[in-house]
Amino acid sequence: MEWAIVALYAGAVLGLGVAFLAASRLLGPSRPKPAKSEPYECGVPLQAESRIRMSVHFYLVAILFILFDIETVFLIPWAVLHRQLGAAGLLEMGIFISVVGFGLVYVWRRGALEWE
Amino acid sequence: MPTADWSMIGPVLAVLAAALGMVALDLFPRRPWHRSAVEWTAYLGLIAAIALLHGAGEPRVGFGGALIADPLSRFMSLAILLATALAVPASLPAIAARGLLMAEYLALLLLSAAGMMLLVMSHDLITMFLSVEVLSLALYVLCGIARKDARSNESAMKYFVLGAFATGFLLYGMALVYGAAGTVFLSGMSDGIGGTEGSVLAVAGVSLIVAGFAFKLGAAPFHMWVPDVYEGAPTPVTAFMSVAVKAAGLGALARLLVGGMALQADAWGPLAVFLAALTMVVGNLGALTQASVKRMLAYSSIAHSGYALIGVASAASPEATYAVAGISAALFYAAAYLVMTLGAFVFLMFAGRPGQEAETYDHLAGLARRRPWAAALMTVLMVSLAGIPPTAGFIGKFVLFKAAVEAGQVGLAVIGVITSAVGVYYYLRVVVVMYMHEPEEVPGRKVEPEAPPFDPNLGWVVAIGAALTLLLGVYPTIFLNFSRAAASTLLP
Amino acid sequence: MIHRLKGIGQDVLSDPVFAACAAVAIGAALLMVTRRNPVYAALWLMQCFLAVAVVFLKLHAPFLAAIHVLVYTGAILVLFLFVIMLLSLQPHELGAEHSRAARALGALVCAGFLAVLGAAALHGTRGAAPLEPLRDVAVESGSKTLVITAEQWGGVEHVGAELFSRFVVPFEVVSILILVAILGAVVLAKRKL
Repeated sequence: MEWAIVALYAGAVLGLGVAFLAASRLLGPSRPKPAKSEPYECGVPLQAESRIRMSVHFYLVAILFILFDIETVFLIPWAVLHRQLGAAGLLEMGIFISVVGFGLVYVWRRGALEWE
Repeated sequence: MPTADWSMIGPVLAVLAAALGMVALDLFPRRPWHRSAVEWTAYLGLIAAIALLHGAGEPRVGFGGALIADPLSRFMSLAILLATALAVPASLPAIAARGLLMAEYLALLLLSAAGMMLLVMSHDLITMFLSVEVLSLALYVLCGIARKDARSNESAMKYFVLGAFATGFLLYGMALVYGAAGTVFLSGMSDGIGGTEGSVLAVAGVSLIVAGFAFKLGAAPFHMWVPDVYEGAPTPVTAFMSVAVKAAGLGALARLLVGGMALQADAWGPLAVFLAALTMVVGNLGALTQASVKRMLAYSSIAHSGYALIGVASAASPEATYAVAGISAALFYAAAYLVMTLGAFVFLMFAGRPGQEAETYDHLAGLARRRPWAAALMTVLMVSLAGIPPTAGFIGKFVLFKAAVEAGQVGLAVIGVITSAVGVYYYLRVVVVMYMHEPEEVPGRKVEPEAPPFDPNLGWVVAIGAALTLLLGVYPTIFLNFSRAAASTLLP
Repeated sequence: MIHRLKGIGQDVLSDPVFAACAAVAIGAALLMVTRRNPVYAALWLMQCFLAVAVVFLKLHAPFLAAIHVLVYTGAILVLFLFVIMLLSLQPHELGAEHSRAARALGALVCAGFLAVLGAAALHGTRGAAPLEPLRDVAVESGSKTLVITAEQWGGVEHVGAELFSRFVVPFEVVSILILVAILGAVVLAKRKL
């Protein structure tokens, strides 16, 4: 029964989005011109593609984010259960956090968090 | 957590501590003794790990059934630690010559070794999978650690993409086996599946797992990556991964199939036979036509995976004694292969000069006159790889073929003998080139008649490899007893 | 030592939500591998991930479903899109399509694999004891015993209780895996070291 609420919510979100788009399409004026498709309607013509090759540094930040994101996933069950798990759970989580924390210290000292 | 559990993983902890220690040392301001401190941290960790491996004792399952310490894990851990301990000094000249990151390089090497040791101790599918990932991930990075070398990048890329693919096979297979068995723990897995009839799920799962491990072992038809990856990776990395991954993978495969899925032998047995036969043929034929010695050794490593798989195929026999003989032969062969192949790859660096390794057969021409000792050591290794007595390679093949014939796999033994005969040609070609060819005058490449400078560390590694090759060939009994003990405790 | 997860979805195959989401997942996966434009492929992958998350829900794994959306759809897929844009490959840089023969071979291998899995799905559970309905379980954790009620099955308490007792070794190995990944990312992707 609780999933019916989720379904209702999902349906409402989806319906609202579709309703807005449909309303805009039906009610708004639509007179397409090539100039309107330009990224800057009243600027100079484009000089090059907007898709350029980006610095690998973005990638480094993103992958580090994911790695620490995954660490957080393991923190959740421990946080929920830490009373019941007691000292043994603290030790287990302590080891885990120390190893990953060592990784953080490494990243920090290596300057991988600095923007070059 | 009982303390006996902790003593089980003592060697792994020692290696991990050394890896973390090296990286930590590198984070502090550099001192003049910095490089030797990093180097000695690695040695210290490895020595401590070998010391902690002591004590035969009964097989022991610990940590809630996740890990097992038994003669198999000790045999394979010793092999892995030996390969690592030889790979560290073999890596130092390359690190210095190519300007690689020393602390990270050695830390990744040790982390990979720790993953391998966990793999051979794994007693449930999840630990097994994660250990495979630890060792593989570290090796992907090590392959590409020469960041400015396009071939190193290519090697890392190919290994990673195909390795990720194989990981998918492995994980999917494990999921299916779990579905069929209702347990991820190896104890109780075979009974949980309860025979192969009616369980297509288990058969599909086992096949996928075998395919995943076949990739890690470089067994045909999952061998495509081996020549390019081995050729492009820095040579000490190649030397390490070509032997240590196979030892660890073979140990885990034996534990999973023989220890965990004994009742399903009629499912994985034919697969192992097929893989072994195809791998021997493909590896040996591929090695015949290579102009580069490094590529030849890569194909040779494929061929030797095939020989080791004969043991796994023989272990599918319902007779326990034949199964033990098969696994025991495969484990001994892995150890023999380890010392000779590691020595041979390191020789390529030893025979060249700093920054320029010997790669083609021409680079080795007339080496016997310039460097008689180096040539003699390489001759021992090549003779052993070819399987000629009195070397480790001969004893290894002998026990393997014997086990295969006893277990009724006569066909595999015949293919093994024929392909070994093919192998003699390309291994002895190296010897012939070293002793009988004159160094060619290649335009643009000066050949100095006097001995070029070389690193004595590399010489020691090659010498240890050759000495162990002879030791295993002349006094195989102790090692054969060890491998037999490892195999016999494996059976449920 | 036998760890049999009992009670998982005996009625799941007849559940319309499960069937619909499984169909969406398969369809999205097929569309993903057949797209030429990597961005579209990534978006279909997102659709596949979301459908799989619902499949996890119906299999009584709500924690996994939530994590699947957060980590896979939220973080890893964004990284995929990121890398696609980072490389920003033009169509001509993607290289030629595989030959017709290669694609036929690939399709053949996939079809064979599908047949094996289909057979496994149809016959895999034949003869197996009928699955029991969900019930309370006791998970030993150190000296304590945590009781997981039928409602909590597959939830965060259940996962945590198992993770910190029987599966503590895999849990700690994950930390090593993350450390290796951190080292690797910095070693390979950091410009100046």
